[in-house]
Amino acid sequence: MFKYLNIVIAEIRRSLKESFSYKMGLVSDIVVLTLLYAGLIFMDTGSMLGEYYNNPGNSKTLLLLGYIFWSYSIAAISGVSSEISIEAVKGTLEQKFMAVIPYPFLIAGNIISSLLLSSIVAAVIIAFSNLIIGVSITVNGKVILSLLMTLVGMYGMGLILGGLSLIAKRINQLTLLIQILLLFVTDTLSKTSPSSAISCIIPLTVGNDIARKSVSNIVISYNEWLMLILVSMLWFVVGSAIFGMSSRYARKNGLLGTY
Amino acid sequence: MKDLLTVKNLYKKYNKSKIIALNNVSMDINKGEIVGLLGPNGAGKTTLLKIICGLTIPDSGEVIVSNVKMEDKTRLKMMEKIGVVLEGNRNLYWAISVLDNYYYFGSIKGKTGREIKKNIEKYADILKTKELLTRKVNTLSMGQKQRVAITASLLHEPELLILDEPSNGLDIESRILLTSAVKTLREEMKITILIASHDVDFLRKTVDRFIIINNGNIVDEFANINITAEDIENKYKIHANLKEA
Repeated sequence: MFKYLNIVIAEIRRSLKESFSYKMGLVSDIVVLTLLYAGLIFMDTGSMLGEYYNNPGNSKTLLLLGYIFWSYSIAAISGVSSEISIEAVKGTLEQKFMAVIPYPFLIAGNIISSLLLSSIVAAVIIAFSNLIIGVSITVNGKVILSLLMTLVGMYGMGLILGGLSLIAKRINQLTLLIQILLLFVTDTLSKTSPSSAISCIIPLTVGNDIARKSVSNIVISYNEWLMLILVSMLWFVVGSAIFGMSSRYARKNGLLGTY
Repeated sequence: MKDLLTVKNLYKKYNKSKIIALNNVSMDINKGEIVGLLGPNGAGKTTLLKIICGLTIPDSGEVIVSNVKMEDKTRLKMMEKIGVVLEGNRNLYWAISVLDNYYYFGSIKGKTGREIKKNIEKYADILKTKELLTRKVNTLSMGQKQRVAITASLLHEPELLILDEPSNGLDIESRILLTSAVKTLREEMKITILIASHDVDFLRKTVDRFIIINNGNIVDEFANINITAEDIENKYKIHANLKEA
């Protein structure tokens, strides 16, 4: 257990140090995501959210909450798939596969580092939102819990893309497409009633709904929590299985060292 | 001497290219030996190394390191016994310092910070990388990167060190340093070393024994005594990199 913890911490430290050495990457993330958020606000996106959650006049806060959830989710996804592509190009992927713990634990460390960096981005967006638009956000325990559970599921989705990236290598465009699609199919920008069947099996949709209900003082039933847990665990289990099969396929076909 | 590495009847065919990369390859390496795996490009050297270090799964055959057979359930544990520097400068994170690389690679091999610190003292001295600790990897020369990568691969104190084409792109001074460091590692640390290369001259100055591989087959093996690079080149048609270091 100590060995696993030690290695995950080493991965977080390594990843953070590397990210801070490429400061422009972090700055561009902040600029792009803040501008995108500003664009959504000025286009009056999500104006019906307040009405749906019985919280009129608070649509912008609910939009901001969904947007923050989405930005963490895309960090969780790219923390797996993009990182695998980058490591394959750099050549360090094979060294990581020779670690004394399974590779997905190293990825988990990398995702934690991505999420920490996303927190910086989220802090800037929240500050921007508060200072320029006058929209603030109150985070409570239920919001944090639903975010963490959502991220477990999104990590599973990232593992599926990561497995694909081990075999097909350059899937950055596909990853980007999925990240953008998530913005539109997970009720992040608006709320459909009821959510579509596909949307309902994406952890981000379920997590968004719970977090918004929480800040709107709507009672969240056990079934809704159970749904979030089940959906997230499903993605996590399927993602882990697919990643395991893909890494075995890559080792069988000598694909780990290619890019 | 006792075998540290045993390879038995390894067979590997890549489905896409239909090429037989290894054809029933068997070999043994004794504890404390430095062995040169010599062959031209495409002979199967890298495939053999990657199977030994668990990165590639063979179609059949087995790899035994220090009496433990490489299998799915033993692979991670076996990573503690093996240190690997793959071909090129693809073994380090270039944007962070040498010291950060050391702590990272030592950690993922299961060592604590204290153990890594102790081993940096030990191995950075032999590989002459002590003065590079605070430098970012992207500021180092090829030779320095190679020595740093080897130091990083040793911080978990492996029993077997595998080097793939370590002399590629090195100048004469770096080759001399590398040859001397490899010999010191064997003499002082008792590490068994397997070096894959097509650089006859470098191997001739470094190894105890040659294993010749070509077209996926082991075609010969012999002790490195009274043999010249020209002999090897003429007999096996492997181009000798005849830089006199």
